[in-house]
Amino acid sequence: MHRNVESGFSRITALTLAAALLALDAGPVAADVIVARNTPHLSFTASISPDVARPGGRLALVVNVMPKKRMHVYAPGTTYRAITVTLDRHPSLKTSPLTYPKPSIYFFKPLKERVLVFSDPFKLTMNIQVGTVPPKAAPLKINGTLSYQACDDRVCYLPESVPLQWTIPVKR
Amino acid sequence: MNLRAICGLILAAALAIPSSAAAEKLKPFKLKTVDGVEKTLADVLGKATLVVFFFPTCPYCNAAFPKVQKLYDTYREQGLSMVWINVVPDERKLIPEWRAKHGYTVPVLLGGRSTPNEYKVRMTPTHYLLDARGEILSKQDGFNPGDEVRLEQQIQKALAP
Repeated sequence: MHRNVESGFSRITALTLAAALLALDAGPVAADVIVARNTPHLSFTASISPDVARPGGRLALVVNVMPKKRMHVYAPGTTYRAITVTLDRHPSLKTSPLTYPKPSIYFFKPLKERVLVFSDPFKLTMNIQVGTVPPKAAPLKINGTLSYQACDDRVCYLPESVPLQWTIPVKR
Repeated sequence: MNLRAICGLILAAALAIPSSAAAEKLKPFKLKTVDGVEKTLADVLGKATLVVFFFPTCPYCNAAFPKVQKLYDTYREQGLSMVWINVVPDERKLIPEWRAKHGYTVPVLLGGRSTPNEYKVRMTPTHYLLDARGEILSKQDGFNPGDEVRLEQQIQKALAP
């Protein structure tokens, strides 16, 4: 468990560094495949790989989320708003359901209930099937949203929806 | 005009200028109930008024509201007014069933996307206790067991003759 957390951190650090290097690159940017954000409740990177899309091929979306100190977000299976990533409909893409790691159980004392949450770094993944892409098509622009509701040991914060966008070149 | 008269005029002028320490008023609103009836802040003001910003799936709101409803039941006859304002528009549809399930009778108003910013709501529940003129007597963010005791004391004080 401890090792998983460490590897989660190193992966996130690497992805964040890669995102920063991409942003600093003075040459033409072929792809914009990593989104890194920091909110008052968590930080995350959302990357799509590989960095080119091939008609008939697959892409993988990986979102590494790090809740901040004392924060938790909800997992599916509770009556609360679970963290989720949705991609806008795209004519060339077909998405699979988002996959979640095993959540932990949080005892919510005021209501004496056990709820499923993520409070340590965790990873969400989604497979994306690339369908037909028109000839001479521009790079794929993929838009999406990361939505969640975070709470700490005293309050719940307002639900957040963070817009995401990736640009993936098409290679035939 | 003698010196005493001049001092009197200066003092009167000073008292006429609103003090910077004057209590802040809650920004007026015009919002709809779940039945589509428009209500303003003036419509809901009582001798004391508790305005609570919430949304139905907010865990701490659900922990707080049975106790807050009880305060409403206890002090309504003495002049306590109360309104709960939903701050997550996409949860509007949940409200009728949520109210019925929990037996809540406190009036609910539907806030919009800008409501949290307009009322400095960063978390829920956020409680504002107002006096009869809409001036803010206290603000409480969040809820933990025992907070209802402090809230009740503030309500009693606001309702005292």
